[in-house]
Amino acid sequence: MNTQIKAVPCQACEVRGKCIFSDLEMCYLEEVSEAKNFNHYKKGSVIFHENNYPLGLYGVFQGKVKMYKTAETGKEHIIRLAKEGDVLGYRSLISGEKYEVSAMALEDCHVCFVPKNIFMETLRKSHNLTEKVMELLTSDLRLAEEKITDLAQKTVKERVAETILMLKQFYGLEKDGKTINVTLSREDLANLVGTATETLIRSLSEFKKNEVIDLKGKKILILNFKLLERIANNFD
Amino acid sequence: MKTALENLLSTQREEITLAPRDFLYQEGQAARYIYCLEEGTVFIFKKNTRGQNLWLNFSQPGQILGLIALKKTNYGHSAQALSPVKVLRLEVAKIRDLLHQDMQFRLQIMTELSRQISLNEDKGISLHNKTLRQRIARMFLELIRSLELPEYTENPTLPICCPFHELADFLGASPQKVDKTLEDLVNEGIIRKDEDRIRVLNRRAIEALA
Repeated sequence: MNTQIKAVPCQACEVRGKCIFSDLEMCYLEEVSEAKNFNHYKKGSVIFHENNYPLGLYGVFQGKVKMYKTAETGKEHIIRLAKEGDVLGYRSLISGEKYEVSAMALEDCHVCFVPKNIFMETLRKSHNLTEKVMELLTSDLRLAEEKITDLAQKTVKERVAETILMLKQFYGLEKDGKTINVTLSREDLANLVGTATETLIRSLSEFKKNEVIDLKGKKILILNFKLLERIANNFD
Repeated sequence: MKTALENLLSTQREEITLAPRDFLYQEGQAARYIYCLEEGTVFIFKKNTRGQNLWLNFSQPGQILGLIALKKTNYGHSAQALSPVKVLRLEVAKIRDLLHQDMQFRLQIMTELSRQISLNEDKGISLHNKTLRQRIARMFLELIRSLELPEYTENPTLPICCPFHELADFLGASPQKVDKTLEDLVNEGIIRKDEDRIRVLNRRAIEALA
């Protein structure tokens, strides 16, 4: 990735269409654009840490990010993934509480940072931003509830299949039309599924043996989409 | 001077009472109202793809229910009274107007939504971290707390009046496993099963387990 990318003013940013500032009134957008910083994070860098107070809002301009909680046991649980256009840490900013998750770059990333006072002031003034934040919160609530029902009822194999489908939906496929456009370590994938790494590897190997997927290093290729959907039990 | 919220509550308040097992709303139903829980405990659960109901949480007085209605057309879970319940019912359109008038109220609603998301995320983590025994203890403990059973109540009786196979659904486990775990807790003197009720005999042990 080119680490020399220059900050683009929000008004001219192509990624803005995917982010919560997409409908922001122009006068407020100019204020946000003037106040924001543009930072580069190397793969594996922590963008913010669990239990720290938020200083502002992070918006992914380019790259992929994982958001995770560390359990008492020290085990990491990936709560969600982020890509360009997604904002990070907005909930703690609104509630004024500490971050409940950490955010780490899964690959080299460019991230915009909007200081807390500017974001909160914009939220106070902008009807459109309020609508976007409410949309985001209600969607996150629904997703969190759905994840509980999945975790409680689906087998590990079903959850692995479902996670692969989610990754395809979220990050898309590479030009070959088969390879999922994200590189996750087996451990990260296990933490996303909510299982032990060994159990995950067993499921992946079984899928590979049955020609549902193929594995090239850390990349996953989907060979039989319909069968993967059936395994994920999405049609019950 | 009255705030916009106080104005709304003084003119639009509609109080509803529910008996135990009555539904406040059901999953999939058109989401037209938001509810402020004034008294009692509400049981929140969600159907999975196999039609089983899974326990999400217990709501306590002061909490707001059905917030998803602000942006979605249907409720994403069901809310059922566990004890006699009193709620304030507010039309979602009125709340939406208020969100744009009152910054403080907007932040309160957003904070409550954030809290509910965190609660569900934590529950998700506990599902792959905790054993069934721990999850049962957690459910009992949350129930004791949500029912506001006084701290000095050492041996609370829990109003789990559902058949035990239903309890298994709520916990996302098989009836056999739940039954075996409850039997273990009975044998260890931590709980007692009285027909359709569970009596906690050792609250501290439940707390330690949860």
